[in-house]
Amino acid sequence: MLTGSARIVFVSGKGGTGKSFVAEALAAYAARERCLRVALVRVRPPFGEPGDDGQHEETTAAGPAHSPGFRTIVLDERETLEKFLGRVLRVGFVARRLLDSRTFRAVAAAAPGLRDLVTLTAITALASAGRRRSVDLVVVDAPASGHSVPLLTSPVRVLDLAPLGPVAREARAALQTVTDRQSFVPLIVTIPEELAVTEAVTLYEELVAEGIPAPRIVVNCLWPGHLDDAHVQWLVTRRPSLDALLHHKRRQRQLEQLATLERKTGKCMTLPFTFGNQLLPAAAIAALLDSVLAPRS
Amino acid sequence: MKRTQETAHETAAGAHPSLASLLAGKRLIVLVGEGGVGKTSVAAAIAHGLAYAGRSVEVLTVDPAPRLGDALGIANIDAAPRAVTLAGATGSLLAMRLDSKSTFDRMVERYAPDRESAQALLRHPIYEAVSGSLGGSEHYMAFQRLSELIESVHQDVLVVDTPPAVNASELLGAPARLTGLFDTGALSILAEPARLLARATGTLARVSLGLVLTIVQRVAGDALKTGVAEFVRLFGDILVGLEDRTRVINALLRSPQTSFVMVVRPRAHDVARAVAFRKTLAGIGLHIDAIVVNRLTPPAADRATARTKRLAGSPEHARTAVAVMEREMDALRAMESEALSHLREAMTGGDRPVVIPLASLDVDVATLDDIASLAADLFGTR
Repeated sequence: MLTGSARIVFVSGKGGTGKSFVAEALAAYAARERCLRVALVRVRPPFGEPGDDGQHEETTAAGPAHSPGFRTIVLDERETLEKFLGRVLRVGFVARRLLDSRTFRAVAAAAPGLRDLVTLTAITALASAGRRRSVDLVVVDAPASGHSVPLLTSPVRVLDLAPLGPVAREARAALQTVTDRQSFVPLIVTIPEELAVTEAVTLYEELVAEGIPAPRIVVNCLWPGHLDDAHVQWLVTRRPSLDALLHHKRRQRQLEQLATLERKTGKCMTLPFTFGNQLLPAAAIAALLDSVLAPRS
Repeated sequence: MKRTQETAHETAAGAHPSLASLLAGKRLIVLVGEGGVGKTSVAAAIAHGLAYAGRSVEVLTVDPAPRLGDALGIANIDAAPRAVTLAGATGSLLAMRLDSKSTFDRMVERYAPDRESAQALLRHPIYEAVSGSLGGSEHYMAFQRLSELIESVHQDVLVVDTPPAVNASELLGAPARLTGLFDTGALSILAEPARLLARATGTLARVSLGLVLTIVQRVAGDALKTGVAEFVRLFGDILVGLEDRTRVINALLRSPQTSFVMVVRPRAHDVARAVAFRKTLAGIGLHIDAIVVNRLTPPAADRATARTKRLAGSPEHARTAVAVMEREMDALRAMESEALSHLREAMTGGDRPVVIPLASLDVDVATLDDIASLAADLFGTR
């Protein structure tokens, strides 16, 4: 995996599932324990748009200080678009300065998909092969699932509207990356609750229908099981503790949701609910990382 | 009879500053909150409580969980409101489910000058792209449905459960964003560039507008330009109707007869988002009257007495497991109560909302009895 392009792990999911937490834990672990050069990319929506209400999901997964190979890149969509326009259109410095919020929105609205493509291109450029490649693994803390599909399908949408020209060239390159099983691994983070599971299934099916490699699914916050089957029976019939019984019932409900999800998407990975403890078990993160780094057939 | 019911609500609700008195006289109650927090259940419970307080209520919901839909008799999408039978209620309850597929198209059909234009617009490739780039058409649909209902509803009060949006500010900002898109002038420049460029005053504006045109041309070529011009022409008529409607809805949302109720879960992350969301809403002149903290883990039952006896004779590892499970439940309660106090501390100012803790039922809300049980907790009438 150290030859050619770096692998992109694209982490998406609905807000509150711990998506950012998982992305950061994964990236930090890869840099610290596997000595990989890792870029954690966060996408920041521009200009008071949906999602930009000044409240970005906090992450606390960092643990010990980050290793030298780890860096965080915040993709400001406006800045990225400015750079893109400079590169593709050779628009000068003065013109780029004119790219104020109104103009930005106008460009984005008049050429649907362009903004998403620009963001996607910035991500794929980080991972692209060549002597100047400076990372081994790109972990993208993607926007909420509703915005992930437009982002990943932007090359197709742009090619539909503008099949020729400098942008089409960029769109084709991006399309090649996001449909390549070796370079692009989508990861959907969800929790074992009805609505989140439904949303994860929808996202999974939409991505697969668009020709994106089948996403891995991580079910976060799964309540741990502490009793074997025989003692579950004992717990339910003897009722030695109402709290233990409630604990058991909540886990059972989660397992039903997990089963529903796995029926539709295949085997999922799980991360335990930590009851307020900030750190995930290292073994769980290691297993997750191994799974996304494994060669894909 | 009606009087007794209302009095009962007010006295029993003394513990929380009464939700019943807060919602008395309101005609529109809008539930906001992220998907999966139990908004639909709370909406149903509020409607239920108000019906028992003697009001005629309609609850409008989007994609209810199947069992909740069953409880309300609206499991299948149905254009007409359904009456929910409530034994002994002095008021009445109608439930209706938003058909989220066709409302936006209906809006296009309604405001388009003729059927051909409507069809041409619905089939236009940019229609989908543009509505998609604005954050999901379900927001416009909810608004459109709301305005249709305001015209036709004969009930005292309408309880609206907003769609499970990523963020409800998307919903509330949707009409402004749609009209704002056209404010930028981008699309009109493409329709008639010469006229608009001539009107642009000042060199800066002129260069700026010219830049948009240049970019779009160079990026996408003439095919897109022609497409956009056609789209603008088709969408123009819809826009006029939508702008009128937006004004009506904006006024309604700020009326003293309207109340916003937010639903959150007792988690640090959810509370932080709720606090920020309240600020966002305040910024556009909307105020939240109540925050329901849903699905709090009920307090621990007394463990000491019966337990020792029941645990006796069980193997060591089973007893250890039970102890671990109890500790984890306590840790969960600590998390929840920390989130709840954080929320209470963050609610400052004269217009601060009432915070109403609501214990988890630990079952899927599946029957009218479940809804009644939630309503009793919510209104403090248990």
